[in-house]
Amino acid sequence: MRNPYEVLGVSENASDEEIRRAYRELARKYSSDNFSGGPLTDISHKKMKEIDEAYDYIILNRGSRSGGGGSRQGSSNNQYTSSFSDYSDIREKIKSGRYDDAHTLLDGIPKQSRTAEWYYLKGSAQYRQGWLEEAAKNFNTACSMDPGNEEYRAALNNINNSRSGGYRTTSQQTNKGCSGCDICSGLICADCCCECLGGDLIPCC
Amino acid sequence: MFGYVKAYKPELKLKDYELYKGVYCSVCKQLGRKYGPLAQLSLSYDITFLALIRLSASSGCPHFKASRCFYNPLKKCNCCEKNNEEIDYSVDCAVIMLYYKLIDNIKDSGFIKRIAFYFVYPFYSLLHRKAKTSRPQIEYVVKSAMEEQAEVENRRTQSIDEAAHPSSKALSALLSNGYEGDKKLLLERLGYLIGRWIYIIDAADDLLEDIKKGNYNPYISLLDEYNKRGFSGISEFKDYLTGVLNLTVDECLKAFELLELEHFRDILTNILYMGLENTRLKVFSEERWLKHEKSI
Repeated sequence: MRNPYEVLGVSENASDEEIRRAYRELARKYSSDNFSGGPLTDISHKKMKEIDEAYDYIILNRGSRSGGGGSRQGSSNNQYTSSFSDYSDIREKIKSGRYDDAHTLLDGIPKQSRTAEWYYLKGSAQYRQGWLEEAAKNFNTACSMDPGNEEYRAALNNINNSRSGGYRTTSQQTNKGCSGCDICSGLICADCCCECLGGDLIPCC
Repeated sequence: MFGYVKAYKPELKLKDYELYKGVYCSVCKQLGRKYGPLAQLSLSYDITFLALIRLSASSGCPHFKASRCFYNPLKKCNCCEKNNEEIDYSVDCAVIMLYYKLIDNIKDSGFIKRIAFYFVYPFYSLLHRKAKTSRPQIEYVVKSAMEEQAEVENRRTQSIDEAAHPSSKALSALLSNGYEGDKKLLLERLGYLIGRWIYIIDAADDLLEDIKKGNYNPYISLLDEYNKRGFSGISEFKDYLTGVLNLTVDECLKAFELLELEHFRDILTNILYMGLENTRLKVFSEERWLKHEKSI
């Protein structure tokens, strides 16, 4: 097992609060919401497991279990159980990364008998290949044909969220605001301005 | 300087800026050393990005040392030591891609330019032969991508996904070459999406010129459609493109965050989170769009 502190990216003498924050930050990054239906799902699950273990290890060994143990969300595999359908082998193909085979199978189904699931699977294969625009179209069709289906809805939401730069804005926290430096330089500037006009704001300089 | 994938300097730390420049200089030096000054024309920020990713994913630690630059001898820059495998790899990629780009240009350009190209062609052909023998795999990847691209363009496809596929696939292979397991998967995805992003932004950048010259561009008919809507057409078109690019970048970031990188993480974060957005804003804010809008 890797050094749990390294996994969370904190130093060994970090406070419990810092560790919890680091954990929460990483958990949000690897959250399955960001990856649902994508090709990286398995890796993100693995990562999630890794940070879960690291977090547990640190907290247990520090003996601060009283702190409530943090707000870990169980990374239970959201395997959508689909009832038996003709598409199960296509799902299997997509899952194992054989997209060309999946497309061939899907294209063989005549246009008039294509269901919402067909559009969803077509979209998933395209999404995993990186054909994002076609995938969005197909997810959209799937959703409009079967508006109640959560699986289709999640895939579409994921794409729509990304379109407005969702992942980028939530992961990148810029500290904007007024720092100590800003206040000092502001004061010095104000002093200079006052002196230009004959007055003085900070008498000592 | 050329290239779409570059860092957003105002947000770059000074130490990272020095490193970034160092990698840029190392690529330039290695190009000169191995292929001579003609090949140095292929230097771009995109190649620097390739070198950065390759360096940061590899386990070896790159050593930098100060050395003088041939083109600006008064200034010393930090350069990677000779014979760094990843820099060498990127340089070979650059030369092979330059060669195919040149051939592509010969096809598309007018009479005078064509003569100029034929004049320099033998030199590049020699360089290409050298690169080809040292990296046959890359040669195959780039060559087949160019053939596929020509085929797709001849069909005049309207699907951006289809149009972007060949070059995306090529970059995906260049980035992930030599890795295995999860890392390969992540680098492939990252490379594919960056390649896709470059293709789309390039198509957007060339769109107005392509319309004038009658060249192929996947967005011509879409722009026409938006133009018909009248006054706000162009800005609606840009909003649409922004969505397409955002989606690509976002997917790319997801892969990036899962990657375990040894070095340069801050620089790469800067490039992917801010640099790409900055390039997009620059491309979209150019005056030609305004002129086009007025002409309607």
